[in-house]
Formats: sequence, C-alpha cells, structure tokens
Amino acid sequence: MADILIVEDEKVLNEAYELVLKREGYNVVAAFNGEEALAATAKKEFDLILLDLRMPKMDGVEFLKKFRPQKNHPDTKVIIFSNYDDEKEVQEAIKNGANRYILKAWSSPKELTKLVRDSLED
Amino acid sequence: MERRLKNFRGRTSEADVLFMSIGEGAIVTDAQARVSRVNQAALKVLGYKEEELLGKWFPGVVKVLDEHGKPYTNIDRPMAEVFITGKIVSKRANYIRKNGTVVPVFLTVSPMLIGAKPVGAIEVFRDISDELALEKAKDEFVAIASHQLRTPATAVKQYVGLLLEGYADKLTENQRKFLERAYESNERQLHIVQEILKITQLDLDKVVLKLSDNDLREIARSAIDTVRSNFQKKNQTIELKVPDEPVMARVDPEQLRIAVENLLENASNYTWEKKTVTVIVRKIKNESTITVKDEGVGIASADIHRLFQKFSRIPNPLSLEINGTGLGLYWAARIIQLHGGNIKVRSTLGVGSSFKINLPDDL
Repeated sequence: MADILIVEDEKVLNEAYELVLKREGYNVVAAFNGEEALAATAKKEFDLILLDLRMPKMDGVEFLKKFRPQKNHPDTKVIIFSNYDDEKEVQEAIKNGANRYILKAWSSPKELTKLVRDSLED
Repeated sequence: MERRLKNFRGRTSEADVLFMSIGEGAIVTDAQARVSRVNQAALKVLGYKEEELLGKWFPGVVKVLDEHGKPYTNIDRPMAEVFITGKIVSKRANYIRKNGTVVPVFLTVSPMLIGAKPVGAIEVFRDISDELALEKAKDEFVAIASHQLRTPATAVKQYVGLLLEGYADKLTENQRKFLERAYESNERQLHIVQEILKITQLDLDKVVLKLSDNDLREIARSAIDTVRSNFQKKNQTIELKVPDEPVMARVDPEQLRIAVENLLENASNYTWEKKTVTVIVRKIKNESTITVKDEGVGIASADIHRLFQKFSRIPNPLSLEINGTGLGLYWAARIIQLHGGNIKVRSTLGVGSSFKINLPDDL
C-alpha cells in the first residue's frame, strides 16, 4: 500500500486525516510542521504528501523549497491541502513543486479518500 | 455675515479669507472649467502654487483617476459630468499631484447656476488616505478572522463526516438525522466564510483577472447549466436569447460565469414558482451585454442603491424563504467593474427586475 505523509499543524485535523487514510489501508506518517516533514522525508520515501501551507516553524512553501530540490524523491506527489486560497500563495506553492491544490474546508472524509486515490493513480 | 457675503462679488479680502480658510480643498471654475479660485487646503493636497492653477483649464493641469485608479477622460471626469448634467456629483477619486504621486480624495462638485445656466462649478474635496488605510486594516482583520474561523469549522466537518460515514458505531435513525442537520449547518457556515473571503480578496485588490477572448453566449449557457437545478426546484423556466453569431469579449470566463450565476440565483430566489427568467446576450455598438430579467418581486426604486452594498438584504414578500449572505451582488458588481464594465438595474415593484452586465469592447 502507498506511503502517505500528512503535514498539518492542527492536531484534530491531523488525527482525522490519519484515521481516514489508515482505514483505507495506507501507511500513514503524521508531521505537524515543515521541519518534522523534512525529517520524515529523510527517513522514508513517500508516494504522497498532504501539505498544509500555514504552519509554525516551517510553512508549506518553505518545506517545498527545501524538499523539491532534493532529487531523490522524483515520484512523490504533493497536494496542498490548505484553507488559504489566496491566489498568490497558491501560485507560489505550485511554482515550488506542488502538484495540485485543494481547499481542505470542502473535503469530507469521503472526498479526502477520493482525492488521495485519484492523486495516486494520476 | 450678510454684509460680508454681499461683498463676495467684489472679492473683498474678508470673502477671500473665508474661502481660503476652508479646511477642505476647494476649487472654483468658470463655465469653461478655468480655475477662478483655489484655496490653501486644495493647494496643499495637490502640491501646486496658486499661480500655477489660476486662470488655467483645470482638467489640463490636474489629472484625475477614478476610485480604482483608472484614468478619467476629460469628458467623463466629475467636473465635466456636472457641466453636462447640471447635478451635484459626489464620489471617491484619485488626484495626481504636481510631483506625480497619487492622492485618494472624496470630492463633491456642484454647478453654480444662474437660472438653469451653469456659470461655473465649485469642487470641494478632502484627502481620504487615512480612511482608506482604516478600511484596509478592517478588510485584513476580516480576512484573518475568517481564516481563523475556517479551521475549527473544517474540523467539525471532518468529525461529523466521520460519524456519518460510519467510522464510529452504527447510527440510529435519529442520530443520523441530527448529524445530517449539523453537517448541513456546518456547510452553510463554511460557505459564508468562503463568500466573505472572496469579498475581502477583492477589496484588498488580490484578485487578478485572467483575460481571454470568449463567446458570451457560451458563458451564459454554462452559467445556466450550473444553476438549472435551482430553477427546476421552483418549476421556473429559463429562456436564453442569443444572436446567431458569436458575441466575443475579452473577459475572465470563470469570474464572469460566477457573476452571471449570482444574478441567476437571485432571479430565481426573488421570483415566484412557475415563472420565467430570461437571459439575453447582445452586442450593441462597442458593448457586449448579458441581461438577466425576472418576473419577480421587484425592488422599490428607493432601495436600488442599496443592492450593491455589502451584506445588504432588502425586505421583500419572499425574503423569509431565502438564504443569502447579501454578498453576491456586491461581488458581481466589483468583478464587472474590474472588467471596466458595470451592472445596470431596472425594476418595478411587483413586476420584476432586470440586471444588465455591460462590458465595453476597449478593455
């Protein structure tokens, strides 16, 4: 089964996503900011990263700036999963190597599993 | 005082002192828009010396931009409007100072009439930089507060969703019913937050149009498809009237479609069951138009100016049945304004309304 990294500083959301994706059978690792996410990607190759944008210590875009230039994760897909849909912020994330952007406020557990399944198949 | 005013025509020093001392900028012109008087406050805001303005053709010296920074032509600037219509004009605008910097102002231009004949105009204005800064701070506050609200509301959606999707135990019929209501209310809450954020992004000038050449007939069709189910629920008919040839305009297709959808949703909401809403797409001279015409409750003429204000909900016989944030029309009007166009409203109480989007060709 695919390996998924959840990067989300809001504990209740992080736990909900973990619950949903584990139930689907994925191997899930949880990180609560960009720094923890970088540390996790140093240890393991992920198929998919669900990445929040605004987080303490290291935000989503900063994470991408450090993560994408490392050429050893060419197949990892990054979905920005944020509640900030400011045009400039989204563009900045896409420019730095995010594959797509989803507003997390619109995603119920069912929609989240569909999003993850579709993204892994792309 | 009476004696002093009697001396006005004689330009006594007292009258001059009075005029020069007014705390707001004041400029008087003759009927040809040549400056005959200008006070200290005006000179200070505009950065000119008195002799640089006196006797000069005002539009020739001081350039003015509209509220959103778009240059006025000499024909449509506020002072010209006053000479043409003979009416008082009050609006926000931007003046270009002598040193080239821009100053936002609120101005009121009044015609000076002898009988019905304009013999000149007087313009009073004040620098509104501080007010705009305050508005910006308020918009930023609303944006931050809305984002803050969105996170816990998103968590509610997740956890109610987990219950409804069977991640915990099996639900009784009542548990399901109550949770579904909670879920729907949460969706509404998230929707309202989304609407407010869309508005603040517009107000903070964060929306950049993605312009391309589009056939407005297609945009109208696509908007109709999106809202069709609303109309079906009320057994209403949508009629589309378009010319045979394409109506091309340079627009942001996504944003324009949403603006048309907003007009259509309003048309449906404020129209009784089984009535018809008509969408008309036309090309007239240098303008493309999309009109949404309903057979609804109509709007009293005294209320029309409130339509495009933020959060305005106008009382009507159907209003109890309608959920709305009062932001849809404000958003639509601002988006069309960004395109260089406008929305014109005609309405008769009890008969119906028509909202016409005008998009000029020269974008």
